Amino acid sequence: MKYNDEDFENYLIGKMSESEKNEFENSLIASSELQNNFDNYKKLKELITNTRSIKLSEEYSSGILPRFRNELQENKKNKIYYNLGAITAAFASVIIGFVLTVNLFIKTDPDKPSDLITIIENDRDSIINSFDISDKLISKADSESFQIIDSVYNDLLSQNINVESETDDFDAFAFDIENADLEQFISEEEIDQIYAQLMEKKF
Amino acid sequence: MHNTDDDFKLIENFIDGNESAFNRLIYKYQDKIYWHARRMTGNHLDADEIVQEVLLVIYNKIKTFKFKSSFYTWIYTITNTRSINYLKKRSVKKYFSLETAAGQEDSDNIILNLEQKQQLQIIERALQKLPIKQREVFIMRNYDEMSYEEISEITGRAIGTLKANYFHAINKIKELVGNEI
Repeated sequence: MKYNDEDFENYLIGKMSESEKNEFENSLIASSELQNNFDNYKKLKELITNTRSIKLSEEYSSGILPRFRNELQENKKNKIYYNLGAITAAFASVIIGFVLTVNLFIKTDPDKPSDLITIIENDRDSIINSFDISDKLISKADSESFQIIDSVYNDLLSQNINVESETDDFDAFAFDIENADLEQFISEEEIDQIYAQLMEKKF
Repeated sequence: MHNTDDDFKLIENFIDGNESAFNRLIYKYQDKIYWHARRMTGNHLDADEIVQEVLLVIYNKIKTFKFKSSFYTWIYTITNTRSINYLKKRSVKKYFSLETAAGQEDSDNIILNLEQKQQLQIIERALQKLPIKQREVFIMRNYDEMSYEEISEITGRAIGTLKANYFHAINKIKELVGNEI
């Protein structure tokens, strides 16, 4: 018959009948494997029984609760410090943010221009300078343009062009010079003068 | 074994603001908490840390206690869960070599009887060689004398699974203990 831990337990606590007990003991004698298995079971049971009832030292046992209470107090204190720290950090962030905003974006002292104002003033100067240059260019362009226009008309006059025969060419040329462009370079009086000369001229 | 009516009264008193009721409850169960944690972890320092952790959980969560199960089952479940979590954390620390092999000698002044201390070391060494699931069933069956139904309530595992775990555990332990003694 094959025995298991339950049978070993029944044997040890006296739950087996007399015949079952005899049969089991005979099997133990006959099988070294069963004997070995039973011995290990007995050792384990003994070990469990002996280590189940170990008493903790009074010193350790009585210290569990006081240590817990201390830890609880520490946790409460830490929680308070943590909350205070969080509030301080939030307050400091607001202050730093405010200071940065004031220094970077708002000019507080008119005698001491900020970097941004300086940049704007520099830009303004460069724009003014560029206008000066443009004026010079325009005035220079005026005199040159007059000379070119005069030379064109003089050439036309000197060649004694028959306008009637070459109306198409003249129109094409005239249309190339836009009125708006002409007005930029010559005054109305000068235009009248040119037209008057042209009308007096006999082609 | 555990007078639930007394426990329930103490819990109610504590919820009503009586701090000494909590002390009485803990004083009643602190050794059991310690020993379950100790058998699960195999050393005093870890067990001590778990005890303090469990007390804190009980203190903070006792208001959620439903008075349906016994208080002992409730704290046993907390202790078991915390022990398993602790073991998982410990194995991670060990894997990354963050934990040194210290602590065994610190339990010298906890157990005064020398023979008991030696026997405890034998069973602790054997228990640490078992997988966690087998270990917890073995401890609950042999040390806390729980039925499979009670173990199933605490662990949430099926009774058939628990029996299989126990069968493997006891065979392995028998062999390990047989070789040690």
